[in-house]
Amino acid sequence: MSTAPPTETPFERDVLPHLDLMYRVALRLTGDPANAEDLVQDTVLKAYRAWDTFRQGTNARGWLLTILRNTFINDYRRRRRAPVTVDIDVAEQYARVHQEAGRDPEGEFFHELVDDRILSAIDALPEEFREVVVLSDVEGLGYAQIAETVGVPVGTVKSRLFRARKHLQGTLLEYAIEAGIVRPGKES
Amino acid sequence: MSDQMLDCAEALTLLQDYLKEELTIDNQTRVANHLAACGHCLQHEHFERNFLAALERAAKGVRCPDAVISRIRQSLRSTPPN
Repeated sequence: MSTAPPTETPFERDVLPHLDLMYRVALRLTGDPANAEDLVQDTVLKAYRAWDTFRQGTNARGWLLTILRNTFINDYRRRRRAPVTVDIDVAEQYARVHQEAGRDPEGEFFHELVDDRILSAIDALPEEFREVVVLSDVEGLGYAQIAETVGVPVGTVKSRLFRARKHLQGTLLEYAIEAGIVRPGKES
Repeated sequence: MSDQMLDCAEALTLLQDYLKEELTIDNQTRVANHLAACGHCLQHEHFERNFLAALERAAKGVRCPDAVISRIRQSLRSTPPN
């Protein structure tokens, strides 16, 4: 007797290929693997129940990320320990980064940083900055798609990204200096 | 407008969105023209490019655990759609 695998349903065909993406975003939003796993599973089940509201032929990725984000806000946000609030002062940060990176003005040090360091710097961002960086710079979504997912104008996405990236650059530069990858100070 | 040169401050403000190809075609061209003529801003462009490449690389290896995938497949098969 044969045990042919059950045929894939349209839902499985359209949704399951996005599980890695959903898990990565969930991990950055919740801050820990156990909650990320639950969040992904909850999101898929909600999507399954709402499948008839999905417009066939449109982008399932954006639809799923919106459900994931709403589920996170409604059911998970309070479980995440609040990150240390950072004041993102862009002008000061910008000057400092480019002065201290003086010996490495092209930012070669970014390639020497281990992935975990980069991810923990992202995790330390306040949520509204963290989510746009993850969607744009980690997962490669366009600004318009992010604006739709997060529910803010494209201009807001742009300004949050700008500030978040400058802040991250400062944090990563500090890591690089601590790790001895960059020597602080101006180019001599 | 694409014949009008940007100054450095304008070019630097647009740099990240330029690298993400999120500017209008006119502005993409103006930033590209500025970078072709300005070594100082080109250095900043390399800095931003290396930074963005590092972020893109950082989570590439993270995958949804197999156990979660099978749990999801199983629950889909036992949950009737609404």
